Amino acid sequence: MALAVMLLNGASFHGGCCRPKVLLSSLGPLLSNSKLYSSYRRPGAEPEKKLSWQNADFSFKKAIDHLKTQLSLLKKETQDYLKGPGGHALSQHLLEQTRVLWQFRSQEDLNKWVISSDVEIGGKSKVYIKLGRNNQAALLYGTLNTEVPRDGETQYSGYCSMRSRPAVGSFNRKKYYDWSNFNSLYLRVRGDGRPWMVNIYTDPYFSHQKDDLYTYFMFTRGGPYWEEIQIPFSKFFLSSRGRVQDNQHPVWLDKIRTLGFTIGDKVDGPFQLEIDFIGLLNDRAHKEKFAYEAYDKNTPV
Amino acid sequence: MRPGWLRALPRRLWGGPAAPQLCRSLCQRPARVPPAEGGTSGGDTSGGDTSGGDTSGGGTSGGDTPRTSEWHRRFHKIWENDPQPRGHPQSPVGGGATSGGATPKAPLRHLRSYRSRREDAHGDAAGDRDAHGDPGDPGDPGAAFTAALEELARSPPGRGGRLALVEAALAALPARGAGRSLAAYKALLRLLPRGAWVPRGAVQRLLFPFPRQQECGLRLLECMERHGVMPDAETRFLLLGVFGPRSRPLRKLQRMQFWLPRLRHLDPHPLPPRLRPGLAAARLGLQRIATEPGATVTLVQRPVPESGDDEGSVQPYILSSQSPEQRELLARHGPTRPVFVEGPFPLWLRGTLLKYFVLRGDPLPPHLRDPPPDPERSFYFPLRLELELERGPWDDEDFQVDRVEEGPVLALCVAGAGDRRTLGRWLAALQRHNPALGRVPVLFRLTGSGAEPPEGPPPPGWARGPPGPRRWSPPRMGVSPRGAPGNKGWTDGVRVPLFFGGVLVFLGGLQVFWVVFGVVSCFFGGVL
Repeated sequence: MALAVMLLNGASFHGGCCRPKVLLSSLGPLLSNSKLYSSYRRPGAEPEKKLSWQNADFSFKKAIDHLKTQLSLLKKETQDYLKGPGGHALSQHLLEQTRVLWQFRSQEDLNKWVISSDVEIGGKSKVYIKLGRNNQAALLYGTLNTEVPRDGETQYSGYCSMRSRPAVGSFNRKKYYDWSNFNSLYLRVRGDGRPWMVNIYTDPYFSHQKDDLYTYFMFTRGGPYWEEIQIPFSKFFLSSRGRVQDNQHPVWLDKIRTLGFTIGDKVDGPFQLEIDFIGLLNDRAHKEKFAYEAYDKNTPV
Repeated sequence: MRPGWLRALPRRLWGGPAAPQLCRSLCQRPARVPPAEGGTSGGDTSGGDTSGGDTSGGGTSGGDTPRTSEWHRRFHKIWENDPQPRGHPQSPVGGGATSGGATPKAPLRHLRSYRSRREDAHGDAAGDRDAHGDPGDPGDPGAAFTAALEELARSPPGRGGRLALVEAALAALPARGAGRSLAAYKALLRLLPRGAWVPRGAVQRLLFPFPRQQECGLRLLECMERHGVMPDAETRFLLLGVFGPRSRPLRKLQRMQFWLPRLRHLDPHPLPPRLRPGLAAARLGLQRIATEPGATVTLVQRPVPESGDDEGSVQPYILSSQSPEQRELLARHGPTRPVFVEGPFPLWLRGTLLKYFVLRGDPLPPHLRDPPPDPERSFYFPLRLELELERGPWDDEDFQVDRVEEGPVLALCVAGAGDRRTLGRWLAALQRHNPALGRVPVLFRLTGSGAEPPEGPPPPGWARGPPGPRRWSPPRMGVSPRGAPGNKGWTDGVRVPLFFGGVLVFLGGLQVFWVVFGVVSCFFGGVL
């Protein structure tokens, strides 16, 4: 049973699939028509005719190159492991109070982020990212358009987002960030007065929870001065598919996969956000464990 | 109606312990109005409204499409007769023994929120609290719609087509300007029948009873949530009457009443609830961004016409802000280095877009800057006293990163248009208090249609208007903008490819448990 599960999980041949599709591709023709675990398909878009395992490309040279890169990554990981927790010295791990996660000084820093908008569901918002003046900050800008795509299913539209690429180890294994030494997120941004949502995705083990996001808001003020926004992790509430959940719990800081910024404040028009850097802060004056009540809220109405 | 054999069944099978009593209390409505009186009974309500009259026998025609149901016809008649918005709180309800079985006799004042009672007292229902920026007409379209709905609730034509009308009215509510009015939602709820859609017993509740009706209720609450309207106890009472306890709309209302108060006041820089348009909004915006101590906002040019924020207006407004420190900095700015006018940058005030321009100085190279003052330059008393008792000297909260190097901000301006003449007027006004500005070369760095290179993603080109000239310096010519030392100018960005595939789906990695297995699959998998 366990072996079968492992074979199933290991036997997919390409990296462009998410976990549910692995199951789908292994059981091939059996579930080819099933929508049980399929990923989102935009209403009106044609279903994919080609099955995922048919995209495999057998090339020996590419495989050798790939193997080389993965082995070098593995070597680096081993060295980091021997150095100390998280690849830093133990003293740094124990004493650090601040850490810079992402800063935007070059194009490869920008490549660590992915931007998306409601074009995926058929909307008309536009979003772009580029380096600011003198390669000193990232400028995320675009236009929000709340016109609902006419596919009969969608009710609302108008969002743009920027998410970090999930960390990937050697051989495409998932890596999680460990932020348990810190209790606040620190952002140095310069906005235009529009409110943004900050989302943390923890990529949970069970696929039922794959839409779970920990969310909070970032209110920019606008103006020529940089803002330093600190958001404690105790303020992030659990939401799924845009709905705040009843059972709340604080975010687990040692299993974080991606961070994202979304704008969807229902106002049509251009938006702009400059980000200098994103970091973590251990604010010793912040003692709150969790800002929301964790008890059962589904009392008799 | 339930058939006789079902009514004869013992209660336990179909109804729960308290359901019969509750349903009985919720179903307290008078007998159905016979068709002949349906027309005349609706005519004795408030105002000069003659909605009665010639309605063809009030009984519903069951085979009608919802479009042409009796409810729709009655509502359109009321709407065309231009109902009076409710001016005083206690409007008389048309005669006791008639229709209006779906409405409570008097508004339940003790259950209403403070805000909805204040709305009544002031007589304006909808447009006061603006959603995103400018209020349109002060409450007129929304109040009229609400009044029409209430009128219809007082004289309902029959029993069919109610749900369709409510769904249609809900879809039209934002367009009619009543999206922010709690009274409109309550009027909609009063149109729904009380007690008919309450499930009897746990078994029926389990099987998602009255799905379309409950979905309509949910959609109504969703519309309220989207517009930021907080439901009060009267809304809960009305929903309880329509759907019964432990129904989905009630559950959603419970969640709204739990979460909306928590999420409403999160903004650390809140705007006032009402934003006056035009110059007042611009002044508020400038005060918001000019955070230097002692900054004063001066009106340089009044808009002509009053709402003069378009390119084509005769005279756009100009508001300028500068603080004494900035004046001093500008005075010390040598004539060999230029100052830059940058803009226009966007500033949003909830739903209003303003443009602001910045007068920035040239940042000095690091070796020419003044060294920071020595913190121990006075031994007699501390020059900075920070009494943060929870943070001690062992806390090191500095980030190991270089901050963005930019020149100092010397003045700010919010203008209706970004063309050369307007900015020139602003600079002339600044020059009155800063004579140094006359000697310093001023360079314009305006983002506009012509200021960016065409390749690459389109720039933040939302500033409409002709680009300003490259240089404007009255006494002597300065350096060219591209060749200014220390400034590389704009850089071209490369568009990161869009991430297709849905908001919540990621490019997941391959799940490989063993490294060896991964190596093997390298050879057999090819592209990974």
